[in-house]
Amino acid sequence: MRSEHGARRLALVLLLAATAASLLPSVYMVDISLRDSTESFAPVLFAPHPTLANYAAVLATGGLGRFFLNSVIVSTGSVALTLVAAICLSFAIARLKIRGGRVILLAVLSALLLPLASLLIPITVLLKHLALTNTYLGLIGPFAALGIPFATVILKEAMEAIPDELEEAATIDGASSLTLLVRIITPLIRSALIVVAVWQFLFSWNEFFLALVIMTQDAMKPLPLAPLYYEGPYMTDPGKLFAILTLIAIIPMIFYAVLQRWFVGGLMAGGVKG
Amino acid sequence: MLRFLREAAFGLAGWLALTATAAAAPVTVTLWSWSPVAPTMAAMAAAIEKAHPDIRIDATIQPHTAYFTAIKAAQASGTLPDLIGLPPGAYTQEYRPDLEPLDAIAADSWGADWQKNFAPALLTQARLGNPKGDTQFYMLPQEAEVLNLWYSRAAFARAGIAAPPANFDELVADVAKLRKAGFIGFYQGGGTGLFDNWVFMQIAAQTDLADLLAAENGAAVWDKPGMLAAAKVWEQLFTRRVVQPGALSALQYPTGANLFAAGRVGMISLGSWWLQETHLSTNPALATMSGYGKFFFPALREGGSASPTLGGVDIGWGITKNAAKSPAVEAATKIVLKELISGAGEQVALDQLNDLPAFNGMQPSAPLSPHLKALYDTYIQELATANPHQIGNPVVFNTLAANLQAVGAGTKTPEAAMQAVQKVAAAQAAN
Amino acid sequence: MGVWGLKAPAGSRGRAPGQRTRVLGAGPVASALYVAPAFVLFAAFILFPILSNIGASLVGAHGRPGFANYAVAAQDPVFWTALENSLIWVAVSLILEIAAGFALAVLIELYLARGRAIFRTLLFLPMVITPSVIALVFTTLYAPDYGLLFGLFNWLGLADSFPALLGTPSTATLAIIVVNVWQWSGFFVLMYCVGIAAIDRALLDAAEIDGARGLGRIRHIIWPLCRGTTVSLVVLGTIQALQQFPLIYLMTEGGPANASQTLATYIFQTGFSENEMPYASAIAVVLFVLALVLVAVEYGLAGARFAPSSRESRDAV
Repeated sequence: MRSEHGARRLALVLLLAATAASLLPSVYMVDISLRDSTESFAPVLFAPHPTLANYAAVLATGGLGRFFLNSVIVSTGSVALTLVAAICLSFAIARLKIRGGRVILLAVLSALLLPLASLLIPITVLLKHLALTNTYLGLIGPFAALGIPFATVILKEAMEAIPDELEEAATIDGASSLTLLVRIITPLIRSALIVVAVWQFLFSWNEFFLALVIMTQDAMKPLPLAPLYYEGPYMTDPGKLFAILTLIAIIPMIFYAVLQRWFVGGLMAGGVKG
Repeated sequence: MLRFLREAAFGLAGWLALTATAAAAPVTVTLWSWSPVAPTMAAMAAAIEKAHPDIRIDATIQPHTAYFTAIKAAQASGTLPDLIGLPPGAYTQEYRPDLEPLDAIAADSWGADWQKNFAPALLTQARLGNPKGDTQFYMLPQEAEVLNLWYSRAAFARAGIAAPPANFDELVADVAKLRKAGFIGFYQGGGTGLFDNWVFMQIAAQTDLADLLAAENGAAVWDKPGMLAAAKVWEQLFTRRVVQPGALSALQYPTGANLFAAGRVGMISLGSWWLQETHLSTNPALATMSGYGKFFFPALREGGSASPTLGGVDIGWGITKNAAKSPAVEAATKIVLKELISGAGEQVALDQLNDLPAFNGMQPSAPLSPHLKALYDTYIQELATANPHQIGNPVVFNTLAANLQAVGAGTKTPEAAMQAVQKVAAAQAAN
Repeated sequence: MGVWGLKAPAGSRGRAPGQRTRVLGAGPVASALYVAPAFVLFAAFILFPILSNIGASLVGAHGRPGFANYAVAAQDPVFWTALENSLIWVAVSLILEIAAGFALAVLIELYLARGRAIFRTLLFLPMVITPSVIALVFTTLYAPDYGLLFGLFNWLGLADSFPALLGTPSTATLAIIVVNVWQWSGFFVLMYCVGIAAIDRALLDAAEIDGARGLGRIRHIIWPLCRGTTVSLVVLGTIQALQQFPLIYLMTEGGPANASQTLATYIFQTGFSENEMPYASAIAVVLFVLALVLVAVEYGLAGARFAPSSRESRDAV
């Protein structure tokens, strides 16, 4: 029992060290954002005279709200579209057992392997023909297409795990396949849906390059492009630049901290028995 | 279906409403660039809009690489804005198929003899790389620049240095003094290929100006003895500890500019655009430039003279064929082009000392402090005789930067590096 | 099997196609409608770009079709550097992420009485920071003369021997990989936590009675039982490492002297900065094939190596 106690204590120490290392860059970022211009280049973790002046200046200039709004719209839209498309596709493969389902799945999965840089030009050409450049849909569409492989794998597995008896009972009651999907299947795979939703949200929230070439109007740009936007004006003022960076980073952190219970719960519940 | 119809009806009604009010609404001209910096561009746009209440300017300013990525994608998809900012040479040529010829527009704006308003060197650069026989202009310069080294007067004073170094050995000695006094002696943002190339070119202008200029224009002369000599001096910047440790990962912007503005750096290679800090910064040493002075790359041998001036077009503007989508936009775009180069737009840029005006006769509207005026006037004089400072071919440009970095890192000899550049340049010239 | 494993798990409750009776009456039209939304998105934003890429890569000098671009790549030293670096990215990222992910997950799930959720959450936080922010923070952290790491060396009296990690060709790639590992380890931890939490407690207790404790229990029971998670993480980690682009682009632009160039960044440099789209497309095709081969090999290895131990564990139940 003594060694058990010692092991637990050692585990805690190791975990605290790993967590500190993991948090250190973020702490450093926040600290630089609290420095005035005379201290911004001190090679220390905590500068001696913290100030909130940078935040006051940055928030007074404004403009960040628009980036946030765009990111929220694009990320939410991409989650919704991904879920709808992936639920339907997984249903067709997992429950309707459509012919060629395995081929479709493999084809969709190969999309995971595509280098993003090679997608930029063809996608912008296509969006121009669809008149979707500088529209939310112009980012939501490609994001959803890129998110569908991962989503389909998870949802298909979750749907396959549902016992046939439930489905049979519903079919005997005369329910159509759509009713079955909406009323029976979807509620049963709730935890898998949450996993897909959180993952897709994070991907859409952080994506940088498609956003760069598709959202060329300032008013449409999402958050990952904001640092580029502020790098010029705050060129000689790192404190203000890091205040912007902190604001950009902190929101999704809070978002995740609040939602992680459901995300992790979804992962834990999602047919992990192997 | 019903919902779709309803939405379609709404959409149609909205569209009709838009067309009905279109006559009264201002015309919007879209403009993208990497320069001038965003706050300056915003002020320029506001000034032009004030002069022309019927015109709206939708301006997007992005950092260099992001901007060129965005217009590349926009070119491929045919979504270029009405006006694009361009450096002369390779970039302008890359977009030439999508650009309107500007000679007739220029004649409309400034009269048939419009070319007299620009220094001949700037006009030559603006047409750099045109196919044989094509004498049209596809970009017209708004701002010009001169390359040079800057030094911090305060840092020099603290290190006990009276004047900027007159030769290379003095440069090495001054850097050591600055380092001892706690400064970064000579900051080089070696991670930024542009500034590696520009420092090398300032050296090569001293060792072999003729071949440098030929090489800029695409000639494969990078292995000439004078060019190799320049590469050897570049190597010494690292082996004799002139540039700071870790220079190859450092960025000229934002880091180098940051550190120089914060007074941590003794010397740095920038150019005439450093004057824009007078308006971007709240630091008094920058607001009047009283804390800073300029000089050219020092003589390589004692008693020699410093590098000849390199400079030319900083940014010019091209009108894309997309601007012709409606007569109203086309007309407004021409007006904006004129205002950007010789009107309200350039006046704002000049008043913020964003860089040097390309259009003759433009003057800052408020009097400059004596030190600032001296700097500005010298620049204007130097610009008149500056040698071009742009490498036309982007592949050669990248190859040169990578090989200079390899020399700096000690993984290639100057000989091997220049031969590598020569090989690529020859292949490009043959293409 | 991890929830997001890429292969239908052998022991999952779903049955292989054909084994089960078809109870649902959905006609071909209805089936097509279910596939339609995903198919439209896939065709537009994935299939079309792939085809136009392959097409573009076959446009050689003077617009003639052929494999000239692939021949140029074979002669291009930067291409080989980029290929080598891409493989280093995969190997180093995976080893560090799997090691850190599994070790920390074991500590959290088996040695913590309370606070598991807190550690899982805190370790995951780097995952939600956008790469453009991370790149600026780490560039500052690594910077000679004023960065945090320099501060540490300075404090230790080692300022003169401070290594400029991003500015030295031999260390630039590794320095960026460390950032990638820093960001992704929390994700690996979480996935292993999920895998470990799913292991039947009775199985662990039984193992303990049999005398398997401490490291032995971890090695012989837990690690094999996490096989599905490991396979999935290896595949996902491979793809992620090959695709990593913004960090390299924003921290070194592939330099110094192309030392940190990967296939992903080189596609970008040749296509966008040097205006050689056909060549960039050829490199993109190479990267796609490389990813395909690596993932296939990983699955092959997983099938050969992990299968026996997993059967063993099922027998134990």
